[in-house]
Amino acid sequence: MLLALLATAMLLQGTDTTVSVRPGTRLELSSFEGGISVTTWDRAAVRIEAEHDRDTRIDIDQSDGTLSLHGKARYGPAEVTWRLTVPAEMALQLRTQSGDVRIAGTRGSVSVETVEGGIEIHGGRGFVSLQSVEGNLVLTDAAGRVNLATVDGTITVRGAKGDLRASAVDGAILLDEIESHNVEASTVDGDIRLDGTIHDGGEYHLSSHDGDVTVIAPAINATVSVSTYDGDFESDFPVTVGGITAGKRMTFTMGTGTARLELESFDGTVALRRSGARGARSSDAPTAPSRP
Amino acid sequence: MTHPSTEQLSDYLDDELAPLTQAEVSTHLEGCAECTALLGELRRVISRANALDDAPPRADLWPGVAAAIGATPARRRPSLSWPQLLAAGIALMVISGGAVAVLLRGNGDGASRGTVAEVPGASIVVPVATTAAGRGYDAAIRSLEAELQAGQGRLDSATVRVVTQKLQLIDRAIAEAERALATDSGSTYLHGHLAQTRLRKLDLLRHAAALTRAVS
Repeated sequence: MLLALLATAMLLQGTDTTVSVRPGTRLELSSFEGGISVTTWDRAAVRIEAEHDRDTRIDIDQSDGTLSLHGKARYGPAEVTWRLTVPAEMALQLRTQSGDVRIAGTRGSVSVETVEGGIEIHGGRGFVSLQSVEGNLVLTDAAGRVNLATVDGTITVRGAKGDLRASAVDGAILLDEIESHNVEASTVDGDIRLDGTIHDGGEYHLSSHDGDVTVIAPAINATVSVSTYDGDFESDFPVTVGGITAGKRMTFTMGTGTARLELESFDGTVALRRSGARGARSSDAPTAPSRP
Repeated sequence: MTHPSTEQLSDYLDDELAPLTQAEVSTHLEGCAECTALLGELRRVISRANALDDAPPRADLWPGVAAAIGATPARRRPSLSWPQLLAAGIALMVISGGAVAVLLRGNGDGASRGTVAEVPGASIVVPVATTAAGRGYDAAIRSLEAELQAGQGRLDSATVRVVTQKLQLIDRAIAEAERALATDSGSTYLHGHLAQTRLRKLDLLRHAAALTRAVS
């Protein structure tokens, strides 16, 4: 049976209302233009603050365990700037055509899609998916399965635990303080850096067409495959190369060799750096979402 | 929802999506022939890979050990991710016969079931698709390019510019990989890299075409 609450607010310059929600309720927000900012609290309620013009209304619908928010303009696409305060455990699914998205303090699953706009998330548990066409992605302190993709922008992850996938077309992928048994990162044009623990039995695949690929770790026990066409290979660790095949592909074992490390750069340097060594980290990431 | 990415479809097959997303993809598939077709291709690739025998290392001691203890070969789980597997499949679809010859080993029934190729370092066997599949890839690219061309008026001009520029970036990467392959046709890395890059173009085109539909 459908339990629905429909509230429509038409105010001159904005909306500010609070809606009670049951535990387990998820939030869906679909926006065309305007930024989205989400913070958390311990109340079983969602506060919705939205800035918009008088010809735009905010539709709030709660049914089937989902709280849906949507801005509708009388003429053309709605332009709404959202500020939401939600229960920390609430699952979030946010979509916007244009505008930055920021979420702080969430302990729920997160799915964010933008076309033009950066995404910055602090937190996230379970499943975290961030996708943008034109925007930087910044994720800190997430745990669970993380999936990040942008066409034009830098991907920065700091302090993530769990499986991690990151994909860019034109942009660097910078992964710091990573605790993961499974990392896949690929970009066409940009550097890739993985700084963290290489776990026994873990699988790590980093691939760039035109950029350096660097792994920074205190120790590496892995079977390592390095592939490049027109690049170089450097290592702070002693390496004995067991075999070199055509196309500059080499494989070797480091330590117990229980992890698998596949590193590819068509046109850049593949490097293994020891944590703390000088030059181990060559660049810093942007700290706020912005269009590149 | 918009069209799921190839990775999402791969995870969908593996039942590795979040429950809600799994349900969304399932619902989407019911009404989208294009994604259903792609899902079918993914299923066929992995099914054929699973159906193939293991290609043990030449110095593998396991056959002797297995014979001694009467063990049966374990079912092999492909060690590449779905996108990598698909990419390898695409690579082997589109590379020329001369290059393929370096990689191929017969399976005794190549005419009807296709042939297989080892991917050194990846420790799996992947299927070589038919020429028709290669044409299917090209056709998919052309179809999506046409759809994007027709629908780009519905997108923001900045988005169109970014997508166009990044498609050109990928095309340059593809051209570089192709030139490298021309000088080193035996490189499995280059074959796989070319395939991955082509797959990335396919994904970007699908994503961009989906955007035009989302705003229509």
